[in-house]
Amino acid sequence: MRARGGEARLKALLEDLVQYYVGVYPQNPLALAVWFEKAPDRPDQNLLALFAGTLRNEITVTPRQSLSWKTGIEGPPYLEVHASSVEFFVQELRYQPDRVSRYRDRAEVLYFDKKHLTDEVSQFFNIVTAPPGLVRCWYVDPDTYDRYVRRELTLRSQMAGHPSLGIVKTEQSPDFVNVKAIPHLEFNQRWLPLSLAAVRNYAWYSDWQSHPDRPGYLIVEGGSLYQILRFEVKTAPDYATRFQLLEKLPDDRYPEVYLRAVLPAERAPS
Amino acid sequence: MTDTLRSICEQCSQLNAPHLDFIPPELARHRKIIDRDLRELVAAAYNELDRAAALLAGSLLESVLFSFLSGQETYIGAIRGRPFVFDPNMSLQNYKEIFNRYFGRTMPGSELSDLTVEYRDMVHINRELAGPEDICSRAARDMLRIVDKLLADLAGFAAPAVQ
Repeated sequence: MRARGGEARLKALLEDLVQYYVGVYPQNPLALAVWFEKAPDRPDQNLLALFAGTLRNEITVTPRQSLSWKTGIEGPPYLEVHASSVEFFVQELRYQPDRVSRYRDRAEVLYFDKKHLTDEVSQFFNIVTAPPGLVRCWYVDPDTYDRYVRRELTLRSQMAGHPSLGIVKTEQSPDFVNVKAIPHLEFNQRWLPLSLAAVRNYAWYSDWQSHPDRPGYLIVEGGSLYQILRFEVKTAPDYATRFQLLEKLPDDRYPEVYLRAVLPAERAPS
Repeated sequence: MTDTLRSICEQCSQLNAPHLDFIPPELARHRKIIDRDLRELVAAAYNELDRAAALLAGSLLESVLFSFLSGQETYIGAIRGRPFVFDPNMSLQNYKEIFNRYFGRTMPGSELSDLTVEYRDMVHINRELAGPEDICSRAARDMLRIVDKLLADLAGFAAPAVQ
């Protein structure tokens, strides 16, 4: 317990420093911070900091510094920072993997900004931001769908910007027409399942709740269109492991959306 | 037809009669500002002003998190195992992350999604242009509910707000 408390305090000290690094170079925002070769019981710690944009083609190791830098105390715990750019790190990963393998040893990711990371770096540090089956969707409300039917807009135009939600399918009929899925949203860059209390905040649920007779639609990445039939809440303690969700809901009660694929013949003529 | 802003607002008890006791007494001016903005948000919603409601709700979200978190330094410090110093110059993104991290589990279902920041950022025209045509209307509707739920969650939060 004491060791765990010590690790938590050490992590908090590292996070303070990482927070400082986030905006320290306006042209090169922090993309990743990894506490590597973790040994909380030792006085010396190591941090890898990767920044976006172009920097010198090397991993610069800064002189050992005290983690109590904010208070001006020069004492343990100490930290050595290995700093570089994402760009250079990717090059090393590709051509000199042995030189970067140590950064994965007993590593804990303290910070990441996925818009500045590449898939290679994310995979190397096992940064998982979505369950494997997640499909991104854009909500098309009944009024907007009517406009699409009247040819006032295209469905593709509704796919602009950030997705309204993500879904993880839990069941699909053999003909792929009927689907049940768990709605997800991004919280701190990770796609997590929504509780019933949380789905109520969003139009794709509340529109259905207020007007179940007027269906809304989801257009999924790839262009398929689904009609929202209804929502139900299911108690499913196995869902988190079965579908590799990134978080288990505390009460295991998952709202599920029932969808019906809108076949091309049924769609408004384009 | 989708719900009107007015009908959504009528269902949002916290927007119409907020309980702001989670704001420490010494932050009286914060409370006054939030009270004023809530009144203006309700007025915008009753007049079906999508953009005004979306932007004001985004601003309120930031004000509420700012005021709440600044009163929770002791609580957060206890969780993280070392003092937490509230930085008043951080962004909504930072406040949201801090809130989700330290209060998301304490108040289940209260976690704020990344969409909230996207919606607030629509103050910049390029961000609205990057979304579909109805993004502003949807943001206004979602944000009314999100701010209302956040206020309800904070009103019920038992931890002491004073240092």
